[in-house]
Amino acid sequence: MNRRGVACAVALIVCGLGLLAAEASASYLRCYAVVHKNDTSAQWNGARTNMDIHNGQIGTTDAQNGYFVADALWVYDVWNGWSASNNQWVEVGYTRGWEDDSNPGNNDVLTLYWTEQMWVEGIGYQYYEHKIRTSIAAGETYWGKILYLGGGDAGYAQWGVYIDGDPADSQWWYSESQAHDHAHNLFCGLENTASSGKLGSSSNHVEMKAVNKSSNGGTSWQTWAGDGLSETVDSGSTYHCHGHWQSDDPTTANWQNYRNW
Amino acid sequence: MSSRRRWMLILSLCLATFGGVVALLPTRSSGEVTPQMPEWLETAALHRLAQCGSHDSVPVDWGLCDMASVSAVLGKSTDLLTATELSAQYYVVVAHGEFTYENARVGPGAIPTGDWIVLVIDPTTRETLTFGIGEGSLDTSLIADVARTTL
Repeated sequence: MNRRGVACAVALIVCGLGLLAAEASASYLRCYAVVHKNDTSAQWNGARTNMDIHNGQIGTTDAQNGYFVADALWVYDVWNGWSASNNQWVEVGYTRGWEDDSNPGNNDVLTLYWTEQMWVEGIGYQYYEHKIRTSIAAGETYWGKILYLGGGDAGYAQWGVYIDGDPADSQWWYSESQAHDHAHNLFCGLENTASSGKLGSSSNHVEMKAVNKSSNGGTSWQTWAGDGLSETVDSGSTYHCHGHWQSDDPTTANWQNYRNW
Repeated sequence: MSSRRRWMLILSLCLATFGGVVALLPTRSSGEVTPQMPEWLETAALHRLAQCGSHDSVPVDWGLCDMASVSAVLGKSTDLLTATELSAQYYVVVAHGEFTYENARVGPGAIPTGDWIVLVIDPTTRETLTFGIGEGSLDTSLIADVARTTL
């Protein structure tokens, strides 16, 4: 092979590696814009948030690749950090980017959903996502709630998932996770994996149900205010992710974490 | 060739053909012949497999069973479910391999990886009501009339 041939071959290899790298990095795009409460001494009984439904958009290509944008509430039984694989949580929210069962590969459906990750004796860590219902529309508001129900079998903690006060109407509506009595970490806000994803202007009114550590029986809902956090998560109307650390972080104080991962 | 040898040859060919046909049929764990996975179910399963990074042939256990059995397979308790909910029928599809679900809706933390993925599908509406991925293994023998195929 002459020099020109070698140069062409090298150029092709470099281009190929570049494309692979671009593809790899694209697949790891994931942004959060959330409020976060972390208190290891707390024992929260649950949390709830109102979800103002917006149509949002994720773009045709992102939808075909399974990317999505979601507005959600997370209650962690165990949270070991941003990169940990052994977290245990229950999540409820709405999303654009759900699978269209009548047309697999078209993932542009708007739906209410809930997910869970927990540890199960004899099996290991499990992650599940559950469809609640797709008959939702922009302009509607739903209350999503995750509530501690007590201890289940074999020392597991049970968490119920509710929409407007009723159990989420999929075949399951509750989760069991390894017992770490109650929750010490709460998140609420946006999760985005679509480069063009947005959910319009979203406003979450979030509350937590606190439980006194000694009495173990809190019954009243409290707002997030008073702990340095606002009760409102305002995602803004032009929220975007671009696959890198954001330089244009929202300036509102209630955006506590805004990062790619 | 003698008449006896000719008949032996014909018999051998027939046995070989029969054996090949049986080998190509989907079978239950016990070896009984079962119906083939519905095309729409296979399409849904293949799509999820691709989403989880699987592009090779993987073993898949599947069947139609009630919610009590689904829960048992997944190791989930049923003590808060009603009798009606427990008796509802679902298709369960469990694929075995190495999977990463990069499109998971997760809280802050790592995306899930696992040794199996599972779909729980309403046979009437064909909706995937639950999709899961996890470590270890699931006892798919708890699926009534479980069948094994390769996708």
